[in-house]
Formats: sequence, structure tokens, C-alpha cells
Amino acid sequence: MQEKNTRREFLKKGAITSAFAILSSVQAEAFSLANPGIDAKNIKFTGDSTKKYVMVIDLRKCVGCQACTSSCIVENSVPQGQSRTSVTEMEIGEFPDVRKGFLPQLCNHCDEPSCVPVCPTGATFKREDGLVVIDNKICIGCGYCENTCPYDKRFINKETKVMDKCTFCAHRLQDGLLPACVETCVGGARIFGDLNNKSSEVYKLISNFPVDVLQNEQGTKPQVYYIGLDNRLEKIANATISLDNLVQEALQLEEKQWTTVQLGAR
Amino acid sequence: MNKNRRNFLLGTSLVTASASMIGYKETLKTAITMGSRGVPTKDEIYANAQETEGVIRDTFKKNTKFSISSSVCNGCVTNCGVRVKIDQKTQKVVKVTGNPYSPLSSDPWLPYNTPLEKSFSLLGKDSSQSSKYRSTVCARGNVVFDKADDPFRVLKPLKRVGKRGENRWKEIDIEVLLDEITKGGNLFEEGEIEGLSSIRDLETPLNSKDPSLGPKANQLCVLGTGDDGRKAFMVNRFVKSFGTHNYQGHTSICGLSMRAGEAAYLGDFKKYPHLKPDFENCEYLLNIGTSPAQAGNPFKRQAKLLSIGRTQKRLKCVTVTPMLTNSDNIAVGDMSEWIPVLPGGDLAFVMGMIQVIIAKKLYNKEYLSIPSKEAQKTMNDGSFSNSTHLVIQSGKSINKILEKNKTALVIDVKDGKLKPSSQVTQAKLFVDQEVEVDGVIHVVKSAMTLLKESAFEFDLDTYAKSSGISKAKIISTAEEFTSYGRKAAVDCHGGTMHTTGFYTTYAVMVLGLLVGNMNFKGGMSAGGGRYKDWKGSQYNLLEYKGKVKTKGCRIDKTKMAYEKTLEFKTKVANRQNPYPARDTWYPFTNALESEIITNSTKEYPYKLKAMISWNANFLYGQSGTKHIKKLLKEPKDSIPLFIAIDPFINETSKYADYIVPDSIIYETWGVSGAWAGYQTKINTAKFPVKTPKQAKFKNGEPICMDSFIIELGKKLSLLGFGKNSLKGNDGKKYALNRPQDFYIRAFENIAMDSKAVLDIDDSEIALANLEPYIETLKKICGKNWRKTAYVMARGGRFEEKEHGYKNDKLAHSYGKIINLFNPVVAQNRHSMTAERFSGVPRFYKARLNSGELIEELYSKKEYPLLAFSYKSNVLSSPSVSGKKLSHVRFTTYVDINPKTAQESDLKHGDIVKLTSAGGEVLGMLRLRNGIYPNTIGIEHGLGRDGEGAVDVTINDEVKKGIIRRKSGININKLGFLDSSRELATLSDFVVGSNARQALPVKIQKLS
Amino acid sequence: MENLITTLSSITPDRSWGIDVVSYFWFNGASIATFLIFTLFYVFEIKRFKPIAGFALLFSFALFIPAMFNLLDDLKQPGRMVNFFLYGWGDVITSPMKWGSFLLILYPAIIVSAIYLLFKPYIIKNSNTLKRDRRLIYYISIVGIPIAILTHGYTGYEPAIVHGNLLWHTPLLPLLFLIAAMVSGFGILIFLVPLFQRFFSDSKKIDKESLALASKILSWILILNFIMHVLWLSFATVFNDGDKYILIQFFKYYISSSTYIIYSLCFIIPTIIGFSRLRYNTFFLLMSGVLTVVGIWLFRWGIVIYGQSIPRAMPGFLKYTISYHESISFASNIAIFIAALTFLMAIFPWEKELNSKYKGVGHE
Repeated sequence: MQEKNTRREFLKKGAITSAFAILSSVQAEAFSLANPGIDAKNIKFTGDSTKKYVMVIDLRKCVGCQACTSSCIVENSVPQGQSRTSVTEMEIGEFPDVRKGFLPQLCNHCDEPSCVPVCPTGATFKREDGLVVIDNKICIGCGYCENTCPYDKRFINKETKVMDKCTFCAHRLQDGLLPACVETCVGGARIFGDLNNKSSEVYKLISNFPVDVLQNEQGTKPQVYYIGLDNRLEKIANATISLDNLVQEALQLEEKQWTTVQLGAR
Repeated sequence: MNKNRRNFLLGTSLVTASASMIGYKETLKTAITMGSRGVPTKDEIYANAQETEGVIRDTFKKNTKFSISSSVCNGCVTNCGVRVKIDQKTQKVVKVTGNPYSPLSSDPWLPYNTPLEKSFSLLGKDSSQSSKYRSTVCARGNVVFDKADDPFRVLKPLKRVGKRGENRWKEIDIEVLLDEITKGGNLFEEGEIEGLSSIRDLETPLNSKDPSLGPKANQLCVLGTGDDGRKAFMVNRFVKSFGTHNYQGHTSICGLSMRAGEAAYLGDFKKYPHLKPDFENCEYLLNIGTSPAQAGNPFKRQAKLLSIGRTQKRLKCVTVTPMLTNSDNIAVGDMSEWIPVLPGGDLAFVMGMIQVIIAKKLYNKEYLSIPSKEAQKTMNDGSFSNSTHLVIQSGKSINKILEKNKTALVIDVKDGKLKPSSQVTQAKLFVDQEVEVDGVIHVVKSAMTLLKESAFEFDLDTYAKSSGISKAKIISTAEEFTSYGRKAAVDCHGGTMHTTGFYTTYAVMVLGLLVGNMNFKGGMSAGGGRYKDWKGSQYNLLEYKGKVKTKGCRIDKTKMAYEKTLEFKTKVANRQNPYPARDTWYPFTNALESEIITNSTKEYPYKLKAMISWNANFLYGQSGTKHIKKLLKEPKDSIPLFIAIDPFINETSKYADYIVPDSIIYETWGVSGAWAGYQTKINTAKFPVKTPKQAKFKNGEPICMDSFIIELGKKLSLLGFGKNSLKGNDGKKYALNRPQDFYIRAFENIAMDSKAVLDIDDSEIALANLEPYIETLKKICGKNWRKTAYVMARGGRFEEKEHGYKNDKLAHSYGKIINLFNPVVAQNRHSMTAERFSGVPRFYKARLNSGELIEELYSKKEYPLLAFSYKSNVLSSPSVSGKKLSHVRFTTYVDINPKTAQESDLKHGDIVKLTSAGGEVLGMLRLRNGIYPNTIGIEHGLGRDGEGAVDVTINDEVKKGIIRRKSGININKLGFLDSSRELATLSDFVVGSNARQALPVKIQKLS
Repeated sequence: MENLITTLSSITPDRSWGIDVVSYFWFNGASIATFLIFTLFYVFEIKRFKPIAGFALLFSFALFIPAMFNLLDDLKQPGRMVNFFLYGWGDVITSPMKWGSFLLILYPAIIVSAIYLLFKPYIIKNSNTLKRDRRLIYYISIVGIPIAILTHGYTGYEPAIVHGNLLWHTPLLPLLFLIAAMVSGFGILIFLVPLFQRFFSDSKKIDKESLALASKILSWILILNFIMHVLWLSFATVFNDGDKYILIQFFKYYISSSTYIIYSLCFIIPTIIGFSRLRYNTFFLLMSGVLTVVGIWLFRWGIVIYGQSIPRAMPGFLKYTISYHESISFASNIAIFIAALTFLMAIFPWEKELNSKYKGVGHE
């Protein structure tokens, strides 16, 4: 009996040890409240805690040139047909009283992001400097965050098969450079900086101008601020659609899973 | 359960379970092996972002994996100074940013002597100057560099196989190519073709019956395109040493109506100068047929200054176009306004404004009354005009300006006496009387009186109806425009490419004259000029022994009045009515690319034997191309030998007999300036900053336009090339064997002009990656090499911003007399109708050369819509082969007003066919509120038939065309022939600029 | 339609949930529902459910297996499934999906134990522990009830917390999900039980009484389902704030009238059958089973696919096209279900359990 018990004990211990070993080999830093990168206080994951990065988009200076869209594609190797940032271009009103409206859009790096608290793996999180980023090595691609973003600013990268979005060019910030879209903004509409720094341009703009954020009612506290935002540009389901999907269909090009359709066209 | 049933269940289970593995195999395999799907990202947080170009921690430290060189973007024709990041290992461009020293990419731009290191660190995240000196690249420039790696690029010389235009080719050796094109022979088994050697004959007249047409050498025509910084080399070195009178750029199919109208206004049909608003200081900007920030040149500079001006509430921008463009922005409120105009209705609108301004006396009387340079100085004004000059109304000297000793005579307001303009400070503005000069009595009218009569020839209702703009709006716009004094500026461009475009531009410019805005801060500017480059302090690169003074008649019948031709003289001698001529002549147009093929085909004035096109693409860019293609297909009928220098097989080079590869963006040499719209000197320099991919000549030079014409020139023994063909100002002579021999000397000229630039130090050489050029620089520039390198490191030379102005005027001003009345125009007649051209702006309805009205020929009933094209802010003709650009603008659409669509039962997204008298196109209909009803707008840049859009066979291998490049609409396929002429596309009736705007079309739903 | 705003340039946003998620919600719901039906007799001692309790338990497991495949297949990185259990525990309160990480372990453990205990006496013939096992079933089932409700409830929470989605963001959604689950659970039982009884039992007799009762209960649940729909949609559209305009457009122009008709018929016909004598007719019974199964599948489709088609920041609506890969995996998913069902039905002696006299805890 005694012997039997010892053997059982031994087996039990062995089983536990080996189970633990298996788990450890899976990932050394298993069972994290967040993810291993944050636990290790890797600067890429924490960011510079003394900073609070925000972007101001002065719509009065936007000319809808799409330079930001282009530069982002190049800087971040965004696959064909996907975008981290883009500028919607619309015409508001009826002839002859028509105006041009532009709305550059990107991840809002919200202070109360909808995407972060729903992530089941801690792959997306907010850094101490305000950036909302994704750990590409941990993301399982469940798509939940994409669906919770009220701004449609997340997507599964066609090539890497993980969630993708604007990082405010975190890699450039780390090296003291500006985000690519800011650097190339032809009209000078995009202004980027540290809100903690009272002499920064963004601080002055936000202090001196009435600024808006997109869909304020979502309560996400976006950190991309707009000057001169016409709220008709925000919720535009009724607008005519971009025809790019339709024309690609007509040309029998690659089939997209989700395409834009005009209401009533079905 | 019995056994059979159980076995049935188990069997079913087994079968379905195995079947399900078809779908789940991959997922399960990945799950079980804990594998990854997709291409793993490079970095966990930064994903697939590029490695940065360097790090800024107080100072900039470059990443040695990359070179960062200054160069020039050729994504469109603005020629912006940019910086190119190149992966040293792959020799591929990975990114392009603005050059902060260049006014075409930044405003303000960095002071020229700013250390190179600072030019990086100042733009960093933590710099307080980064927004101020932000240096940008547009949507195109950011991505278009990938065209260098396009699979459709021509890298080896090609010779056609089969018939012309079949797009079948074989690769040949460059030496063989040179041999064949110089010697000629039975090159295609289609009969003998004369080679360039025998065409290059400066003695024998090409037509023994009419030596005035010039020598045989004129039977070679060279076509260029927009100047990418190498035009001076091509024209002065090759064309002028070959000795042909025929070189053409692309202006006639681009913006000639604008250029010619402004040349008339500025009284200079030789240099064709042009104007742009001083965007930086102007307070009211009236854009007609052009849209800053949508397109225009310089694109980014206009856009940036516009955005600053409106945000500061200093500038009101008004755009008169058939379509709402990106010149408008709802966020700037009433600092921007769109006045919708019918396509081609701009002339009526402007003439209406002129009428109102004169009727209400809203013009700047004091300025207009300044009759001379002397008076201008006395009055301390910015310019002077011939508004008060007197135009002779009858007799032999009709339409000449009344002069004595080559000085115009005017009537002094002080005493009403006729005096030389130099002695009068304020002359009488409206004159309609008889004057006596040396005993001869002349009936004269002042230019201003002529303008008044012209403007009042039609009433405001007519102008309102023709322009589609209400009378009230014409009046209020005239009032508002003049209320800004000299800080109101005007601009116009491609929207005027219709049959009355010349007078439209002229009229638009005259609006500026009426407020006296020339050379004023916030008014009109002819540009800041450039440092002396080709002809400079060290070398005169344009002159050499044996440079031919070309002569004769141009193939496009330009720069020559019909009255000077043998045809006219013969007819007169035979007492025939000399009018109409066989076809239209263009006495004051500089060049017409759009007339070459047709003229050669009809052998009027003569037939060409050979054509060299260099990056030219008139078969894409010319309205009515269908008719030209047909001709070009037949070598015997049109041009027997056609050599294209082109990095791609485009719509035009597709019809060539030989294609010589050219270097492409960031592989080329060149020096470019800027269009107007800047106030300080600009020279943007470029040199190969990555390894070119094309095949090479024996001497190791990659084949490109420059190296090719050097070798061709040598083969033809032209004196512009080889030993001793370059001249130093010190009398020394140098050889021109490689492009660098020419261009580096131009850089040296720039460096040494006026006050020479500083010497570059070694750290800047390293930062600019100039090491590969040091030996060459030392050899060519001697002691000046560090100064030349200084220019190369900064991508050219740019004058300091503060040098642009002197008090309330521009520092670099246009000094010649402004022509309210252009005597050259007035003294010429239309060679077909014999009508005299109006010397002042005048309203004409859209017409054929013969004067037949378009609206009568193509009735509203049959063609209810007017089609026009607009320039894209993303696409351009040289950008289609950029793959990434399709990401930003996939294709182009047929734009229509929702009301018009509804009336025709058309919907957003319908596939429609547009038909004109000259052709048809298919496209997808896009509804947009910002377009004039009953018109069709087409974004220019797609609907391609070349440059990878169609299948091409090289060495029996077929490359499949890319459907996206073919998609979209090219408005030029809707262009039609002028039925009143013999084989010619519709054009402006005065200067011959190709007419692509306001084409009558009908629309039909296909699906 | 008024087009006061016309679009010149815009992008099509991406959406990542496809048919896998539709199926997951369906199978997950049907599984927990059948488990709950199982408890009707083994916990709540409703005798008429004795004949279908065994089926229900086995079905609940057979339905759970394809759900797991849906879940795995839906992930773009299934190889990283383990991360689900390793990281992100800080979000355990706020991420309903994270709740799944323990529910999806607990719930199958409960079904498997119940199955084991229920069929143990018929497999290990001389069991002395029968009484203890029955008691264990009772307790496990009692624990199982809330776990099952949560296991489906969390899926309802998933879309419901998405405040950016006008169709989803309502506290009613978890309840709607549960009711829908019950409908599909009864539906699948009503459809499958007669088939097994008729073709795979020795007696070949269909237990019409029990099924008729199930059908009647189904009708009541359908009434509840209808009420919930009315509450949900009326508050989402008619009585909503400014967002209602987009939803009204959505219901008016995006969804075709035939969809409404099919959807309504899927629920109206079974309700009528359940409340009438038709419920004793095998044909109508089978029909009501199929219709409710399809109807709830459409409901799941509507939530997932239509819900994602509503734009948040872009013009127009989105249209979903099933990719080739997805149609294959959908078929595979059905195949997995059939495989699991037939396998379980082949190896477990459900017929013996059916014929046993067991009457519940303490009633032996």
C-alpha cells in the first residue's frame, strides 16, 4: 500500500512536471495578464511613458491629394487593396450649391479604445505613450477587434494573416522621425506631436481651436483631432458608393469577400 | 440496434469524417503543428514597416543600409525636387520624400547653406521646425518609382517583327540598330528605307521646286515631350547638329492654348513665356479652366500655398470649371468658391466680365494709362502695357501700332497732344480719332477702345447663355475680382483646350491687366528664373563648332505665315484668290505635334522620311487619335522610318520600327527649372542614383536617350559630339562621350553662377552618398569639384526665399511691354478663311477652322452632352506603369450630374457608351453632384493601350496586358476631325492647339 | 433616393467574420439547447421528456464538435490557438470572447461526463454504482445548466457589446441568442429524433406524444422569440435615436422582401403546427423541425453577415460573397456534424437508455 502510494505520488508528480514542461516549452512566459512583450517591459510595447502622442488634422489644409494614403502603403508595405489610412473625398449638396469635403482617416488611437478590451489574447493594447498597437506574433486573427472598431480602421492583412492597422509609424517615432503620412502631407493638414509638451504644435492647436473627434458619441476618446470637421462627412451610408468594387467585378478581377454596394441596388 | 444499422452509422461516420478533412486539413495541420499562416511579419509591433532611413537623437545618423540621394521626380511634369531612399543591396528605390531645399516640395524651404545633417534633423519628430519645413511628395510621387521595375519596361533595343503596330518585336544589339537606322535599306522586307546618313543632307533642297521648304535634313522630325531636364541636350546637341528644323515638344496636345494666349499677352511668340499667380501673397485667385490643388503645375507648391492662404483667411480661391475640383474644400468656408461653367463657356464668361469692368469703370485707370517703361519708372509701377497705344484702323498699315522712330505715339492726358510714349506719364486710355503724323492722317483707336468695342460686341445675355453662368454672377464676379486691387490674380490652363482656347487665355490674362497685377506681390509672376546652367560662367554647353542654323519650313506649318509660302505667291502671281490655302498655317505658333503625321501623309508642306520620338506619346494624348493611328500604320504613306526612344512600349512607340530603351525615373541626368508660380531661382539637378537596368553600349554606358544620341551623332559624324565638342569659357575644349561630360558641367555652371556655392565637406559627401561620383567630379570639374558636389548633394540650387520680393513687388519681374493689343496676331489672317485675327480678346463660338459652328454641325438633338476631361490629382500619363498607384486610384469613370442621369434613366455604376462624331468609349457611370448638368467629365490618365495595357510579343514570347491599365476612359478617343480641313484633328482655329474639351457626345446604357 | 452626398474616393472596409461564425453561433446554440432539453427530464423530471433526453444529450455533444471546428477554422492563425489560453487574462472581464476560454472547456467536460454516467450502466453491465451515477448526473446537470446558458450567452454578448454596430448593440441580444438557441435545439430534435426512432431503433416506433409536446413548447418559445424580435427591432429602429435612419435604410433597401417572407414562414408555420393537431403528424413535425433549423440559421446569418454589412465610416453597405474556401469548409462542417452524430449514435446504447425504467433521482 505504502509502496503503491509512493508510486502513485511519483507518477502524479511526473505528470505535473511534464505537463508544466510542455506548457513552458510552448511559451516561456505563459499565462500573462497582458502579453510577454509588455511583461518584459520591451520599449516597443510600452512606448515612451513621458509622451502622449496625438494627431491633429486641420481639414482646412487638406486638399484630398492622397499623398498620405500613398506614403503609408510604401512605408508599411500595406497590401494592394487595403489601407491603414485613406482620405474619403465627397461632394456635398446639390448642383450648383455643391462643396468638396475631405476626410482623412486613420486609427484614432483612442484613449478608451473599443478594440483593446475585447482582445482574447492581449495581442492588441495601448502603449503608455498612447499608441494602440498589435502584437503580430500573438494575434490569432479572430477578427473581434475589427468588428468593435467604430471607425472601420482595422483589417486582417491579406499577406500576414494577422490584424493590421495604423501604428502612428511607431517604428519611425522610435527613431525620432515623424509618421510617414505627416511627413508627406502636401497641404500641411496632418500635424503630429506630444500632447504632454505644452510648447508642441498639437498642444497649441488643440488649446486654441475648436476641435472635433470622429463619432464622439462612441465614447472612445479618439486621439486624432480634427479642425473644421463637417459632421455630414462622418456617417455617410447614404452617399453614393465608391465604384471600385463594382468596376473590378465588371473587369472580372480578383473576387473580394466584402464589397461595397449601393442601397437599393440589391 | 441491429448490427447492420450500427455498421451503417459507423460507415457514414467514417465517410463523412474523412470527407470533412478536405476542408479542414489545412486548418488542423496549422493548429496541430502550431504553425503560422501567411507571410510572417518582420517585427511583432512594427509589422512589415520599412527599416527607417536613420535615427535622430539631436543629430541625424543615417542607416548605412540605404543611400539617400537628392533627385527629381518624373511622376508628372512638375519636376519636384525629392530625396530617394535606395536599398544599397537590391539597388531598388524603397521610398521617396521631399527635398527640403526645394521650393517645389517645401514652403518655406531651407536656406541653401543649411548643413545637410540639419536638413534631416530639422524634420524630425521632436523638432519645432518640422511642420514649417515639411517637405512633401504627392500621391503619385510617393509610389510611382516602382515603374522602374515594371515587367513591361524596355531594357534592350527592339526591332519590330511583322507589320507596324502589331506589337511584335525582337531584341537586337544596339550596334546593329545604329547601323540599320543610319544606313537604311530593305529593313523590314517592305522595300527600301532611306537611312539617317543620307537624310542628313544640309545642301540638297528637300523639294527642288520649292527651296524655301529647306534642305533634306528637315525630313527628319524629332519629337520630345515635357522637358524632364534633358531637352536642352536633345535640341541643342542633336537636333541642331543634325540640322533639322523640326523639333516639337508636346505642348500642342497639352496646354498650348494657354501658352499661346499668354505669349500673345506678353508679346513674345519666340520664347513663349508664361505667367502664374503669386500664390503666396494673392488675395483673390480666379482660376479658369485650371484648379490649383487638383492639378496644375507646380502641383504641390500651389496646393500648399493655397491651403496656407485660405487657412489664414487671406486668400479667396474661385474656380471656374465645369466640375467641382479639389480646389474647393468645405472646411475653408467662403474662402473658396466654385462657379460652374459650361465646357468651353469660359471665353464668354471672361468677355462678360471684361464688359462689366469697362462699363462700370472698375479697371485700374492709372495703371492702364502708363504708356512706356519710362512712365512705369516715374509712376513706380510694376509693368506697363500698350493699352493707350494707337492702332491704325485703315490703309496699308492697318492693325499696326502708330509709331515714330520705333516708339509708339500716344495722346498725353495732360494736353491731349500726340507724343512719343516715352515722354508721357499718363496717356489717354480711350481714343477713337484721327491723328496726324508727319503730315499723314491716320484713323486710330487705342488698344483699350478696341477691347471695349470687342467686349461690347455681344450683350451680357449672350455671354451668360454661352457660358452657362448667370448675368448676375458675371457682374458680381467682376465686381469682386476688381475689389482686391493688385492682389487679384488669374490663372488658366488645360480647360481652355478647345477650339477658342487661344482667345480664352488672352482674355483671362487681360482681366489681370485691367487690375494691373503684373509683377506685383500677390499679382502675376513670370517666375523667378534659374541660375545659369547650360550657358554659364564656366561653359557654354549649347554652342559648338558646326551647330547648324536650321532653316526652311516646319513640317507642322508653324512659325510661318501662309502669305510667305510659294503656294500663296504662285496663286497671287496666277491672279487666283490665294484663299483658302490648302490647309491651315500657324504664323505665331511655336510647334504642333498634332499636325506632324497628318501633314506628312498629305505631303503638305512636304513628306517626312524619318521620325525620332523621345518619350512622346501623341497617340494617347492627342484628341482624335483613331485617325492618326490608321496613318502611322502605313510606313509608306506617313513616315517610312520611325525610331522611338522610350522606356516603355506606349501607344505611340507601339507603331515604331525601332525602340531604343531610355533611362527612367531616378536613373537619368538632367537639370530642370520650374514653371511660373515661384519667385526665386530654381535649378533642380538629377543624376543616376541607382544602377540602371538597361543594356549597355560598348563603352559601358547604359542605353538611354543621352548616350544613344551621342553614339548616333558620332556615327553620323555630327560635330556636336565626341572630341573637342564642349566649349569652356576659358577657351579650352572637352570631349562629349558620355552624358556626364555634359550634365556635370551644367552642375558646375550652376555651382559657380553669381556668388559660387560653398565647398562640400567629406561628411556631407558621405551623407549624400556621392562617393561614386567623386573621381568623375575631380576629373571634370578640377578645383570646382567640391562646389559641384555641393549642388548635387542638395539636388540643385535654390535661391533664398526672401530674395523673391522687393517691397510690394516681385524681385524677378517681367520687363517687356504687356500687350492688350497684340499687333502680330492682328496683322495675320486665317489662311483658310482669310479673316483677320482680332488683336484683342474677342468672343467666338466653338467652331471649326472654316468658321462653321460646332453647335450647328453637331446638334444638341443628336449629341445632347458636352464632354470634357480634367487632370487627375493622382494619375498622370507617365504613371500608369506604377503598380502601387492602382491602389490609390484604381480606374477612371464617366462623371455625370445625378439630374442628367435621372433624365436619361441612368444609374450610378451603369456601364455606358459615349459616342462622338469621332469615336466611342465605354466606361462606368459615376454620379457626382459637382458637375454641370448635361456634361460628361472624364479624369485623364487611364484607358491605356500601351505601357503594359495590351499584350506584347518580344522574341516570340507573349506578355499579357494588365487589364487595369486598359480600364478607364481616355477622352481623346472621342476626339474628331475638323471636317472643314483636309485630314486634321479638331483644333483651336488660331494657334492649332488640339481641342479635347467641350466635345459633343451622346450616352447610351450598355448594362 | 436623395444623393446629397456623392462619393469620389473611398475604400471598402474589411470584415473578418464569415460563414464559420454563423455556423458557430448556430451549432453552439443548438448544442446548449439540446443539453438543456436533456435536463428537462434529468433535472426537472418532466416525464414526457424521458424518451428524448438521451437523444438530446448525445445531440448536444454531436452539435458541439462542429462548433469547435467553426471556431478553429474562423481563426486566421489557428496555430496560435494556445495564445487564447496563455495571454490577455487582463481582459477577462471585458472580452466576452475570453470568457469562452474556460466555458468552452467546462461545457464539453460536463456533457462528456453526463454521457459517460448516463450510458455507463449499459456498457459496464454489472454496475453497482448506478444510483451514485444517477445522482451525479443530477448534480452535474444542475451545474451544467448555468454553464450551458453562459456558453451560449457569451456568444450573444460578443456582438452585443459592439457599440459601433447599430444592429448588435442591445442588451436583448444575449437573450435573443438564448431563445434562438432553444428554437434550434427543439427544431433539431423534432427533426432528428423521429428519424432515429423510425430507422435505427428496433421498435421503429416514433414517440409521437413526446415530440408533440416538444413541438408545443417550441411554439411557445417561438412566441417569445417573436416578442423579443419586436422589442429588439422596434427599439433599434422606430424608437431609436439618429442611428435609426441608417437601420431603416438597411431594412428597407438592403434586405430583400423574399428574405423577410422566408424568415417569417420559418417561424410562423412551426408555431401553427405546434399549437394545432398537426403536431401529431410526423410529416408536419419534420417540417417544423427543418423550418426552425433554417430560420435560426437565417437569424444567425442576419446577425453576423448583415450586421457586419452596416457601414460605420464608409459610404454604402457591404455585400458578402462566400469564398470557395468557405463553401468547402461549410460542407466539411456539415460532414463533421454528421460524422459525430452517426458515430455517437452508433456507439452509445441509446435505445437501451430509452427503454429503461429510470424515473429520476429518488424515484427509483
